Amino acid sequence: MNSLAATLPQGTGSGYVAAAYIVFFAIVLIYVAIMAIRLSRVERDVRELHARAGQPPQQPPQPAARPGDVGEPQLAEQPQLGARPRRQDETHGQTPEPHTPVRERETV
Amino acid sequence: MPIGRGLRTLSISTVAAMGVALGLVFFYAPIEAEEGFLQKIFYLHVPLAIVSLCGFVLGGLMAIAHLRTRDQRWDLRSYVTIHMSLILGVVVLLTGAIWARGSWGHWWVWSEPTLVSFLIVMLLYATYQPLRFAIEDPERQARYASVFAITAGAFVPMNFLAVRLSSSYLHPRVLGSSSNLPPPMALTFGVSLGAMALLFATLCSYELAAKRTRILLKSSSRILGYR
Repeated sequence: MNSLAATLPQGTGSGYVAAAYIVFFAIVLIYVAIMAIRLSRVERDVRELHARAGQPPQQPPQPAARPGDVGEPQLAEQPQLGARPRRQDETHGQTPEPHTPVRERETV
Repeated sequence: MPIGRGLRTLSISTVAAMGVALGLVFFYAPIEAEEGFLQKIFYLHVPLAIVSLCGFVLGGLMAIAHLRTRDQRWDLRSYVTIHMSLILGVVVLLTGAIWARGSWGHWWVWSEPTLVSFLIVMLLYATYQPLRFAIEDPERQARYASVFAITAGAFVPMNFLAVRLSSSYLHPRVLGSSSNLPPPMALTFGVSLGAMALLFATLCSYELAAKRTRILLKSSSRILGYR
């Protein structure tokens, strides 16, 4: 390090040059580190989703079907990743609408 | 198009270009007669400023594409471009202050139009994100942000022109008829500019890929019923 410093011209603002380049690389590095943290969060969510997708869907106990009953099974509302489960009083006693898969809009 | 396609190539190109640019700056470009070694900041500060300002204009153009097509992807691109330009703009302000301190003896000179105009542009764009995220409705948020990006993007070249027409010449002029960079310096400057443009493109691509992955993840969890 000392030999490198000795090669720099003395008294010509080499400290300022070093400071400017260090600031630049430090900010880029901080940005990359933030990206890495966000990526690890996405990876954790993907793992969680993968683990949930591997499990059989949790359905509420169905009433015993009578002979001759025909109909679509009700979709049970699943909790969002990392979200707390909704209480019955939060749904105002109404049956939540079954979710239809729609294409997610690319919003920020 | 798959998310993150071409990121590896772009990243390797950027690292290579940055390496070449740094090599040229410190081992090829001659030491300037007046400023001496301090002038090496020029190869960092000026390309960053150019790329940052071009990014703001590019964000405005993408916002036009969003308003024309109503395609949310253009809004996302516009947002990421402006976001990245803001980050580079902060680096421009910091490196500029360091250069000013070494060269003029002051961290900031309020009478210098180039510095103040860049600060005005930065302050203008600093309001972009608060404005954007103050609106909850995604549709309206994207539309208002696009209008802002277009207006501010048009302001950037006008601002640049106004500074050019001003009488103060304390800040060195780099591009234009008065530019008299010798060929080794011009080559180094060109390579540095290319490297900074590649860095900007790479960081934008990473940010876009991250945002798209998150959107896809949300969409997948919704489709699977984990909403």
